[in-house]
Formats: sequence, C-alpha cells, structure tokens
Amino acid sequence: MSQHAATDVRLHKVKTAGERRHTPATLVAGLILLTILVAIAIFAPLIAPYNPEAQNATALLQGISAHHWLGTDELGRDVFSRLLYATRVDLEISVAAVAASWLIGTSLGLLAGYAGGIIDAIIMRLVDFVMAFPFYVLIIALVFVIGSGFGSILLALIVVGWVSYARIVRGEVRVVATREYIAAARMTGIRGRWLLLRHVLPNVVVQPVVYAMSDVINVILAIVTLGFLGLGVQPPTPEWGLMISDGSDFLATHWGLATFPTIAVVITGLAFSLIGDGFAELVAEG
Amino acid sequence: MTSAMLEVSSLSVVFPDRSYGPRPSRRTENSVVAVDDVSIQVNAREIVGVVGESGSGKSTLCRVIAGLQQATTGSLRYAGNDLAHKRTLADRRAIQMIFQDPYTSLNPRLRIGYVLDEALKVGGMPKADRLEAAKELLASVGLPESVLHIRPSRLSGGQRQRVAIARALAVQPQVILADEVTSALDVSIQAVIVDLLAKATLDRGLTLVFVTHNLQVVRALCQRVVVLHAGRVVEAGPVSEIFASPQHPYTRALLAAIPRLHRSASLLAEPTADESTTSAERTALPQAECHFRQLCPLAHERCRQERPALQAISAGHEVACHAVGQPEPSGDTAPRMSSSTGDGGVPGDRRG
Amino acid sequence: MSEYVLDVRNLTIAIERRGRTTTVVRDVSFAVRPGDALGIVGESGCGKSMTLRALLGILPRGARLTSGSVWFEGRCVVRDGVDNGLAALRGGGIGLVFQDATSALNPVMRIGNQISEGLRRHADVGRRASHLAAVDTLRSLGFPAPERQQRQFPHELSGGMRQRAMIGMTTSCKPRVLLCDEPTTALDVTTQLRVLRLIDSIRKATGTALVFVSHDLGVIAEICSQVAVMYQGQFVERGPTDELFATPMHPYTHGLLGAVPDIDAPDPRLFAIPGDGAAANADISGCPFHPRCPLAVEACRSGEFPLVTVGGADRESACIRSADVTGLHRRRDEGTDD
Repeated sequence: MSQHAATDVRLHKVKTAGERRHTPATLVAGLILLTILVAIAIFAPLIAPYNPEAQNATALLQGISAHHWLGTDELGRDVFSRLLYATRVDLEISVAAVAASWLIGTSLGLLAGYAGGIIDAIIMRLVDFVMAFPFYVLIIALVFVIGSGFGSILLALIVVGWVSYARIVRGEVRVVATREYIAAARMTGIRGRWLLLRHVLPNVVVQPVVYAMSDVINVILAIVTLGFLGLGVQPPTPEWGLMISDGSDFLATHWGLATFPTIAVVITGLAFSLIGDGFAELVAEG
Repeated sequence: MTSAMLEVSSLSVVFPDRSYGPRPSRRTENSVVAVDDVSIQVNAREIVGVVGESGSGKSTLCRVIAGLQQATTGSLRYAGNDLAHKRTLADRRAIQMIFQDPYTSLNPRLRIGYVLDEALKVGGMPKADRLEAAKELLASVGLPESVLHIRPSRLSGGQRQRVAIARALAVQPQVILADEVTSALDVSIQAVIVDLLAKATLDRGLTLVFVTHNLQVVRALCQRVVVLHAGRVVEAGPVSEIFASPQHPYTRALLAAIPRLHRSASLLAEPTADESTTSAERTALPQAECHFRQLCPLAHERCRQERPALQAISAGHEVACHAVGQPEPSGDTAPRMSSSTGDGGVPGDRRG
Repeated sequence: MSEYVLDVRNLTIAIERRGRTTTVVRDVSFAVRPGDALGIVGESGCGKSMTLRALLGILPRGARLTSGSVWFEGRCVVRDGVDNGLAALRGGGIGLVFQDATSALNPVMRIGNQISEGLRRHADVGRRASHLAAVDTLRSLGFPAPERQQRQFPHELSGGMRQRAMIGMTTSCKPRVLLCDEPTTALDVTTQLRVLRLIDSIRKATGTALVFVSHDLGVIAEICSQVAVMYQGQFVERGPTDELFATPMHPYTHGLLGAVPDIDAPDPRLFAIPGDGAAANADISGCPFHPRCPLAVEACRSGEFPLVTVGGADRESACIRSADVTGLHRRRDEGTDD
C-alpha cells in the first residue's frame, strides 16, 4: 500500500548547496559608483564651491590650483563646479529618457506580442519605420524640428528609443505565451490584462532591463554628442557635451577643459555597464 | 446509469498544410490528421486512460478537451453543454489540465502561494478563507506549508507535479486531464503522483482522463482504457478485460512489446518490421483503409479498402478491426510484428 | 585480468561548483568481458551517466575523476584518476550511444556522411569505400531504402530511425566496448523493441561488450545478463539479472521493483518509495538510502557500506540487512504487506 510521501522539512535545502544567491561583485561595484554619481547630482549645490555659471574675467583659463581644483574655462567659470552641476543635467535626461522609452516600449511590446494579428502588425511596422533611420540622423532631425533644449532632446530620445524595447519584449512575449504555465493560468479563468501583467510580464521583464543598462550609455553619448554639436542643452547650462565642445578648442594648451568632462562620461558609462553585467549575472543564476 | 460527463463525438483535428494559406478545413495531401474521427464517452467519476504512442493523437485530443486547441470537425460536450464554440468561465474551470513537463508548467516568477491564492480567488473564495484553503491543498498533495513562500525553482520535478495537481484542484474542477504527467519523473516518484491523483479523484468525486503511453500505470490506475493509433480509436473497454485479452492486433502488439522482468523466452528473439506510422508519415495515407495494416498479422484485402468501424464485442468493450470476430490464426496469441506486404529484409535477423 | 575488455576499479567522481565539492560517483567498480552485457540501473541523479562519461573522458565542466583506475584490454588507461591514454580509445575502443539522438547527430550533415566520416577516421578506409560501407550499415540497421535515406538529414527521420542511425555511427567504428546511456528512453515501446534488438544483435555478432544504463528495469532485463543497481553514486546491489529482480537483496531494489511492476503481475498496484531522492546527497552520513528505507536501523546512519558478497558467488549487496529484504519482498508479492 503506497504512502503519500510528505516531503520532509528539508525542503528549503532542496537545491544542492552552492545555489545560494550571492550578489555579483560587478553589480555591487556598479551600484556604488552610481550612488556616488547620483549623490553628486543631488548635492551639487552643496558641494560646488562656485556658481557654475559665474564668469570671472580675472581668472580666465587657469590651471589646477587651490582656488579652482580643476581650473577655470575660457569664461572664468570653475570647471569643478560645472562638472558637478553637469552631472545633474546629463543624468536626469538620460535616466528620464531611458525610463520613458522602457515604459513605452515594454507596454507596446507586450501588447504586440500577446495580441498578435493587426495590432502586432501595426506596432511592428512602426518599429521598423523608426529603426530604418540611423540613430543620430533621426535624433538630429527631430531636434531641428522641435528645437533644442532640455525638453526637446528628451522627447527626441524617447521617440527614437522605445523601439528596441518593443522589439525585445515582443519577442519574449511570443515565446512565453506558448508556455504551459500560461495555458494553465488561462484554464483557471485568468485572462486579458491580469494575465499579461501578473503572469507574462514578470517573465519578459528581465531582458529589457538588462538592455536598458547599456541603453543609458548610448543615450548619454547621444546627449553629449548633441551638446557637442550645439543642438542639445544650450549654454550657459553646464553639460558634459557642451564642456567637451568648448574645451576642444583648447586641447593643446588646457587639455583639462575637455578631458575632465570626458572622464566623467566614461565613469558614468562604466557604472551602468557594471550594473548591467551584474544584473544579468544575478538573474542568470536564479 | 451514470451520466456522460464528457462526450467526444466524431472529433477530428486536421493541421493544415501551410503552403496553401490559412484554410484549416481543407484536407490536402500535406495536411496532418492528428485526430481522426474519434468518439469517446467518459462518465462521471470514472478514471479513463487514453493510451497511444507518439503520433497517436492523444495529446492533441487532450488539448482539444482542455480548450487549448480547436477541433476541425466534430463535437465536444461537457455535462451536456457544447464546448466546441464558446466556453463559459464555469466551463473553463470545470476542466483542468496537468501537463507533462513539470519544469514549464509552473510560472517561474510566481510564488506557489500566489498561484494557489489566485486560483482560489477566481473561484470566488473570500480572502479570509484562502490561506487556510491553500495550506490544505498543499497538505492534500503531501507538501508542507513552507512551499507557499517559494518559487518553483526550489522544487524537484516530483514536487512541482504535486503543486500542479494542487493548482488544478484549487479551482474545484469536475474533470481533470492528466497529460503524460509521470513521463518526466523518476519511477519511484511516479507511483506517488499516480497515487495522489487517484486519491484526489476519489475523494472529490472527480472524473480523471489519464493520457499516457505507459501501460503499467494505466493498469494500476484506470478503470477503462481507450487505445489510440494514428489518430483513431482502435480499442476501448474495461482495463481488466483489455489487459487480460486484448482484441485489436495493435493493442496486442503494444502489450507484447513491453519488456518483462522475468521472461522465459526473451522478446528479442522474435523478428521485427519497419517503423510504425508516425503522424509525419501519415500525411500520405488514404483515409479509407486501416492504418495499422502494414504491421498487422491479420491484415487482409478488406483492410486496404475500408476503415474499420468501432464495434462492440461485449459490454463496454469496442474494437475497430475487420479481423475481430474471425477465427484466429492457429497457435498465435501475441502476434509477431511481421510485415504483411512482403518487404522481407528485417534488420536484426541476419545476424541471428 | 586480461580476460576483461574493460575493467573499472574504484572510480570516484566529484563535481566542484562555486567552491563546494560534491562526490557524485563513489568507489564504483565493474568489469566486462567481450560479449558481456552489464546493466546499470538507477534513477536520475544517481551518477550512472556520469560514470559512462568518465569512461570516455567527456565529463562536464567542473566534474573530474578524483580517483580510480580503468584497464582496457589489459592496458591501464586511467591510473589514480589521471588519464593515461583514455582519450585515444574514443570511437574505436569505446563507443557511446546517447539517449538523445537529435543532439548527438549533426543536424546539417546527411546521415550517410556522418557514418562514413566515422569509418574513415577510425578504420582507415578510403572515401568511396566508406560511402559504400555506410550504405551497408544503414541496410543492416533496418532502413528500408538505404541508398535514398543516406542522403537524408537527421530531422527528416523519425525518432527511432535517428536512434538507429546514431547506433550505426557508433558501431561502424567497431568499438570493443559499447556504452549505452538510456538509448531507448525517449522512444515508443514498439520502436524501443526494435532498437534493443539491434543492439543485442550487434553484441552477438561482433562480440562487443555492452554497458547499458537505464532506469527501466524491463529493458535491462531484456538485454543484460548482469545488473548493478546504483543509488546516489554508489552501487548498492549487483548480480545476475533474473535472480536479482526475482529476489532483490537491497531495499532500494525492492522499492524500484514495486514502483515499476511487471505488466503481467497479478497485482497491478504501484508502490512508491517514500521520501525524495533528489535531496542533496552530500549531507547524509552512513548508508545513502537510510532516510527512505523501511528496514533502516541505528547502524545504518553512520559508516561505509560497500558491496559485499551475499548468498551465492555472484550476488553482492551493500545492505547490512540483505537477508531481511527477501522477506520484505516476498510479503509484498504475496500481498500480505500493509
């Protein structure tokens, strides 16, 4: 007579030892770096010794000194303070752009993947249309049309940025929709939005998040490039791209003016890259 | 007289030949007939086994009953309601399915407790009662309550199947479809799962349709069995009768092919023939014939011209074979799988 | 000693994952003569597949032989866990038939070519000759139209035919030892029979020694004259197949027999083995089966439990209460069990 084998209390050790989730070092390093950057952005007014826009005709193009830790630029503005304030601008725009793109792209991708049919077709043709244009060409064209400045480059980035997420998510949704656990949920009577958000979404959300991490870097580069081209944030607002652009005139003599903001971009890119890698590693174990 | 809980009538599922565009009802040369005019009746509280090898159509049939696949022709009734077109929420929940692969049938991102709670909620249970009910469900499948807080990745295959059973029961169904639920599990765990299913079915007065290729399990669990071959029902009847004296040559061959633990004359000594027909090869077979004839020792002219119909040979026992009712060839109880089309050349033989 | 074509002694395999080392195969020994057929029975995770892979030197990443030796035709090819020529045996000396033919066969190569390629590499045969030999091989495997079918790709064949093609590939190199890792598990029972016949006929015709791994007791009973039962990396019982299945002398074997009854047995019931075999195996001291064993006593909780000869020259069991297993088994058979 067979017995019901009630599993013993050892259930929590069901997986062999060594499966303990440990946070990958890359993730931790990236997060720490990002936290520092965000802190800089938030506390810039408190840390910066000078007003970033304050010009000082008597202290033009000065090198590193006790008064100006990273020197001054061609209008006498303190480079260090500008760097700190620029962190705000660049981080704000890039994070906002990526977050919005992610939201829009993921939602449309979910819809397209699950609904299929004509809705899928429309959304995907839209994606194809946007993707057909080279990234920078489209951004620049949009900025020309909408005008430059904080708000418009944000808009341009979002209009161009959502498509990658939509593609990724649609692909994932199509795979997940065929899985048996979705069929089982449908048989329980769960359908529509509930099914999509509670059952499908958690399984498709990882890919776009990992992609977002690398996307932030691209977006920052785009902002910087636009700034460099004079199409982005307008002076006197401090922004890394603008600083690089202005400073490139003085590369031979005062290399710091262009180099320090470049280093800032690299560090920010590194932070997100580490987070992206670390996150992928973390989720892969699970 | 028990009422019919599920009634499958002349059900066919034809997978279209895609190169002709989306016209599912056209049967062309390349369309695959997965389920071919199948009629089955399952009574309330019965445990029925549906047996077949790959290509027999048993999984497709199961999916049609579950509502996951559309039938091309024929009808499906549950407790009198026609399910072919529109299922109500109640209909949908009345028939629950447990899937073969325990590693893809549970949502990896959801905790077990959530899944059970949700199933109970959809059934209308008030929030206050749900936690207790979930714990009871887990207990009834032999799992501790700590399982509520974890995700499927922490569980083994057998444990996941138990959760799948608990989930199916949470909805309070009338019919459970078990599609090869033990095939992916270790043999020592199979018995547990089968036992659980049996107990759950009997305790709650449910009807169980157990789809499998494993005859040993059918014998242990089911009261009636339906044997499918190439999308058609070839034999159906009480388990005890069919195992004791199978009538259809395919059923006999199937039983004969199962390796025994203690066998005086090994199976291996007997000659064999070519592959049995799988659904991929069935595209080219004509409708008006018996699909088993190439491998059948009792095949004759009529088998090539006419599809055999299911006839009752005793109470509750039906067979679809032209040769049943004919005198058996002398001295042969288990037919040898020899080709009747004179193909000669059988592989293992030559080496003796 | 040289009567054995393959002699495995005290094989121990450990897996290292994230700093933790787990022993998955412990002190396994067996030997086969030409024409022998040894079955290894066990469930998933017991280490049977790992053992076979070790014999071919294709252990997965992180797994390694920590100790043991292997003799092939009298020559020592693995000494103390170190490869001493094992790799050279692959194909010509020792062949492996996998469970999943689909992943073992190259999907973009025609099966005829896959077979002839093996021939050219191992048997020093020219291109044209190997092509003809491949067609011949397919014919002997039971392919009805070998000339046409040798041009087919694996996905164009049914499961059984793929399996047979893979067997053909492996045996075309005429290995002296054929290792089979659940070759028929994924097949229909009628197809399984054909493939088993094929393997058996090859063994009889060429004198290849067979080491056949499976969880299916019936399959082992059909094709193997000797069987070893494996649990959590260790052999727990060994002996002639018929005898072992008729009168098991280890509680695990007894449990297995209850879970997969003979189709002809008068009692159709399935008996479960309580507990969960998948639980971490490293943590248990003593006999690995004792948490699930109906005959477990205090003495089972600690110590080592190697195979010892029990009743009869050929029978071995790791259970200290092997004599009681007989009674347990008989009671269940007679239905006097609870």
